[in-house]
Amino acid sequence: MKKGYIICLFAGLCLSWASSAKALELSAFGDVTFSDSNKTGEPGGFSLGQLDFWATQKLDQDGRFKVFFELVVESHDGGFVIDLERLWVQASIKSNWDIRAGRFHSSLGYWNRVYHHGSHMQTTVFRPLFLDFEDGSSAVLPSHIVGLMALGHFDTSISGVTIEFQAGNGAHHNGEEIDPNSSGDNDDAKGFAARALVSPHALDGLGIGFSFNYNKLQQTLINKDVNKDGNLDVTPLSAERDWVDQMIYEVDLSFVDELTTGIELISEYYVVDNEDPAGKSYQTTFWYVQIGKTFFDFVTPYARYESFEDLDPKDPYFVTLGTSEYALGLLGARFDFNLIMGAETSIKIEVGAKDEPGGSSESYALQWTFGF
Amino acid sequence: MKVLSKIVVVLPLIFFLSLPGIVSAGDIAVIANSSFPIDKVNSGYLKKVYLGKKTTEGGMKIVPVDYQDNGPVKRDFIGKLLFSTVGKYQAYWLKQIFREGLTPPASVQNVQRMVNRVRKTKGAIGYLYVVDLENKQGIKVLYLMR
Repeated sequence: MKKGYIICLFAGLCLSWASSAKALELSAFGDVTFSDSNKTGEPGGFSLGQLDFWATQKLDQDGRFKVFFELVVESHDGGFVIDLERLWVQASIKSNWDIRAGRFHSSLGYWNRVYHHGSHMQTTVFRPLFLDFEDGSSAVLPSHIVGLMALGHFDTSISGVTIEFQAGNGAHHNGEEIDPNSSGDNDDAKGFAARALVSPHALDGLGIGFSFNYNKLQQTLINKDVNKDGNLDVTPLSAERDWVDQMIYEVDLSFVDELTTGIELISEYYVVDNEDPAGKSYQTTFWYVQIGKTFFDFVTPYARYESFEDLDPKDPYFVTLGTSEYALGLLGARFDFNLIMGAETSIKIEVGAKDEPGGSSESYALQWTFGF
Repeated sequence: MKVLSKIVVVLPLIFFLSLPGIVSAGDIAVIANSSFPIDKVNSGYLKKVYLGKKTTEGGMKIVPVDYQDNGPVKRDFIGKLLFSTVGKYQAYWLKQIFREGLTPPASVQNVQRMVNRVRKTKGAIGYLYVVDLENKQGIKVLYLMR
């Protein structure tokens, strides 16, 4: 499947280059991270973050048609894989409405729609744990969707309003992770997401967002065995079976003023309502709040608190994902060299304290990010 | 002859600009294509246009135009409009492009091309020092930034 993505992407690029003389301006973000913790069984070490290639291109002179892609090289199971994380083509159908087709980040919350896969873009070293991508160890949300999207921008006398609607392949659990079904849906149940972002004119940088996501998820049970050649054999143990009907509600509040005061305040609150095939409903809530401020165009001290402490232990969704409750506090500082030296690079230092059912632990991380 | 005509235009302008409380050499005129739906805007409006938060006016797509280099007029414009620096403005746009694939303001090399682009493009908005505003044909001044 990964190879298929690469072939499709490069075929698309070659076609676009062949059919027009436009030069594609490719940008990239990347990072190298050292992290360590005093938790047993988690030795410290270096890791390569996601190497994130992205580009956007107008397909006509006026920009009524546009394409965007984000291609990520990341470490996985001791090797590297290439994932096409975002790819969409857009048409502006009215002056304030755009439609898109492709693979997007779900219209779910602030972080997922703003920082995407670029750790260089986010102030902190890591995303909130519960906002991990589907292939991450602490993922709990369907962060991608493949299908159609409509975006509307409206300007009222008191605020700007952005509205997003998404409809696409419903996610399922493939035995290992939540899978957005990028290469075709496994059933007829579709996924839907919507988001409204209100930006009052009275305070530049303030945003209040509301999101909703629906998925009827199915699940495949698998068996993993190492074969005589030492390779991993993955065998389905069952046909797809109903897992949960899932509704996710989210509200976020953000004040991000990167142009003048350098203040960043972000908070998101989620309610996940899972209904099992027998009709029993389980509700789980989680949230985080993050604050930071940039001084001298160089250093940004920050703090974040994440809470995932209201988990229903019988919820079949979280039982399958192996999710456990936690509370995590972070303190850190980011040093940016862009505005003082003209170098698109930053260094982040972060310490964290985590409480979870197995006990408490402290962690440390040092990250060097870049962009070009 | 061309130089002489320029002196004839510029000298009275400099005299005019030197009068207190009127305009000064550092003032910036925000110009628009003559078909632009409105004749006057304020700084809040312009701020939204140059930050990609306002993209249409009266059903017409707004096309903000900027300068390629980070010369004095761009520095003054960003400073007066956004109370910020060109570096932060560029960092802001990098994030907007990455987040949503937004298109940043089109950029031109110099004042002459700025005027030409605004004159020829429906919905275009641009800016220049008042002293560089010689020929208003096909454009209109929406706002004077002191």
